[in-house]
Amino acid sequence: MDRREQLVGAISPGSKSALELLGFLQHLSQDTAEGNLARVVDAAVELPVKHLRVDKSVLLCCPAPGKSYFPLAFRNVSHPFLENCHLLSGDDILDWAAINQSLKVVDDLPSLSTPSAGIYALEHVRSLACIPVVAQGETLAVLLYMCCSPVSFTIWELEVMNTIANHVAAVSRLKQADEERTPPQIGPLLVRLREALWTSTDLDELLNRTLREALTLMQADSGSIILHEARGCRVAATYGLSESISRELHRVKDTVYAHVIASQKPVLLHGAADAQEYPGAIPRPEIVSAMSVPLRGRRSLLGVLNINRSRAGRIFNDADLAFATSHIAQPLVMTIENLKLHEATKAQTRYLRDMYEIARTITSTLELDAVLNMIMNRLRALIVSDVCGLLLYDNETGRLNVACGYGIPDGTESDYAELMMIAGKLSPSRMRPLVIPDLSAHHLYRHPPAAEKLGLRSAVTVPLTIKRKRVGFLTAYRHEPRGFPRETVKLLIGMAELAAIAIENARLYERQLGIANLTQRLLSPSAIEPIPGFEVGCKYAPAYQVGGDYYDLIELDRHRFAIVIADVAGKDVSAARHIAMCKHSLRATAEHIASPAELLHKMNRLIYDNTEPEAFISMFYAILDTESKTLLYSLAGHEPGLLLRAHTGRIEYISTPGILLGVLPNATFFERRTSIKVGDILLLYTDGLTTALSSDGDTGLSKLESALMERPSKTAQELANNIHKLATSRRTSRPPDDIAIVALKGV
Amino acid sequence: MDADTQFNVMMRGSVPVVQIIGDLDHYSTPEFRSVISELIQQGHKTIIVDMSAADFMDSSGMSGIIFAAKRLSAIDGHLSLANCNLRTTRKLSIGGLTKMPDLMILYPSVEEALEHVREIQGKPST
Repeated sequence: MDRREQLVGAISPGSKSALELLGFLQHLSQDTAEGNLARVVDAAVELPVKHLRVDKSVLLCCPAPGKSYFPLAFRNVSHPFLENCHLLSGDDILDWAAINQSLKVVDDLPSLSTPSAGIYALEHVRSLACIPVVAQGETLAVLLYMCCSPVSFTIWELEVMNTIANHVAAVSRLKQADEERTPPQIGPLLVRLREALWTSTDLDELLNRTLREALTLMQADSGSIILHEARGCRVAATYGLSESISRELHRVKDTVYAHVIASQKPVLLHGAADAQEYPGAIPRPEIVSAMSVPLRGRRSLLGVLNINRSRAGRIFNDADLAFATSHIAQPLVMTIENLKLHEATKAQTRYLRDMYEIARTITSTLELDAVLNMIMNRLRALIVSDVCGLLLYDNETGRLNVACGYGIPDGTESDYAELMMIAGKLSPSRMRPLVIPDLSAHHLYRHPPAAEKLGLRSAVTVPLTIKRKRVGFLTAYRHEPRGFPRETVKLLIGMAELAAIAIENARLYERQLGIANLTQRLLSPSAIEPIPGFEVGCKYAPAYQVGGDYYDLIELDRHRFAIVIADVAGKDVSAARHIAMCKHSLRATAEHIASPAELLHKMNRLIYDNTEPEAFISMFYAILDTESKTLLYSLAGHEPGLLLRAHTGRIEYISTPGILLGVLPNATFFERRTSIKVGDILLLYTDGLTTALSSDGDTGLSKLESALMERPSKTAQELANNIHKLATSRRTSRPPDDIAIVALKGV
Repeated sequence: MDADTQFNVMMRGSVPVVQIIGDLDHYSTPEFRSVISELIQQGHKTIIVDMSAADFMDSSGMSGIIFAAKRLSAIDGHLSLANCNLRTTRKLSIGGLTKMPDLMILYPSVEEALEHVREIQGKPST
């Protein structure tokens, strides 16, 4: 016993399936009572296919004598069958059922010689049941239930079919009676239509509401609005049509609305006879009158409004058409155009907001890694893509390298490189993006193995350009074909432009920083020459890549050494430039000027004349005489030196009054002399050290003094290292400052 | 690092008082400079900077103060700093800036700074 026979057994009164079917029939009764023609018609073709042994079904509307049959609803039948339904006119079986208003069953169709055998053969029909839909003595339609195997329907199955046919008949009658009972008042209905035109900013929702009001106004019972869009026609709103018809509406060629779109002229149809002029249309014989009105926008055709009436005897005339054009179509056009403008404005605003956000984020830093990271983060946030990568040209080798990417699980650089090389195949002169809607169908990029492995179907690659020169590519993939709509590509182009600028700036900054670092490396003393009778310890720790502190030791003659420590305002490239200027000037002039105060006076003038108005330098300049063991010193706005006397164990401040270099053009500086004996320690430093040791209410000087006094026995270098360690080990919320320390010990 | 340093400008009579709330450092000094430039552009020759809520000033911050002092001095104007804390006062003092009345004068309060400014301007004290 095959499955079908089992089912035969199951579908008998009282079985589970039968109970289910009864439940659906109950719903059908409810739909009939509510006058919902569309749902009843849909159920009439659906239920027998699902619950009885029927493979295919179609509801054919009965034409006037001598005219063709039209399918109103169907299940599982092919287009060729639907297109050839008109050939069923004169078919013994259908005509017999329609004329006699009685059901007709054929158990073994191939054995009959009927003129329509060829049409049935299209669907491989072996047996069928044909049930007429009769209302008020008139056959409105015929329900054709077909099987692809020889089946003898049971009485119970035929009873169900009959019931369904009765429902179709009843709902047709109900609708007609209802419409005749309540003649509509046009005034209030027009107001409701106008209101519907302003109810929503969602186009489809608004069109559906408007269509309902328009149908009420025109005393019509079904209709649709089909929009003519860039990608083809789209059914935007329907009312009173069965699901299957709504679904198929825009696919069929040679329809009334296709004709209206082509001609841009309205069409009035009266009954099935006129409908035959449009062979592609899905026939709906219940419609006695219909109109299709073009929705003409200012520049192009926006779509078509279809209005159908199925009440016998009342047909649309030219006055109705004129009324629908002026009172429905024209306001509808205005609303659609306004909404499209609204949508375009909204999209533009969204685009600008996104671009602002991208610009704000990726230009907030100059560090290349951070810039790349931010570009990836913005891509993730704003653009739906499954795999994404950024390729940059190496300035030296000219090779394209993967800079960053996301989306490949555990993906290595070479995984990304393989996937991103789609960009490498682009013509070198191409500056426009390349969108590949479907990788499986593209002539050039068909099935890249890496993409296929990851199930990626669509891709886009956008060149990053600076002054018409390509610096890299942004490439993104999606699993879906056509995954990158126009708006996304537009956003990617904008993002690529900003990314190119941010990346180029970061690269420039890195180069500039590199130069500054190199400058500072050349400027810092590589090794301190030993000074006879003294130990020298130095420590220099810039807080950032470019520091603003420096120190130097210059041998003036055999027994005189210049010691300098300075702090330049700022921590950037210009600070390095100021240090360079300072250091070279000092080295050039120091040996010719015996007075530290005079030297600072000259340095002040040099800095005042050659730097920006807000630039300044604090400096401690001293000349150490190793023969007399004396130190001649002068300060320009610098931290005082600390001199720990070995014989007293006390600290003396080594300082003179003097303003920062570069603030005033004619500043005066003073000098003093002191001795440095065996065991004495002189500590010179920049303010980064006292700042690091300071806290609220304390300048940090007392901590420095304590540190110096605790470690007098160490070497000068150990002392410098220990004090630096002490300062940097303190936890502080402030950014670190540069620290320079010079310790000099008499030995 | 306090990225949220604020600069509030309040007019006391005809004298603008710039209150710094937060740190005057590498990050906030460019904004301080533009606040001062704007006030000078508006025609103010005397500016009081209230440092009561400025906890910290580094060398960049000090370059901002020098910028303000130099710009005002160039137009025969005057910069007053009020309520500087110990660390800031020490920094300015070591820089030799507290002994240059042509550049700037430090006051213990905004009121005292105002009083002095009015004296200079030849207006009766209120």
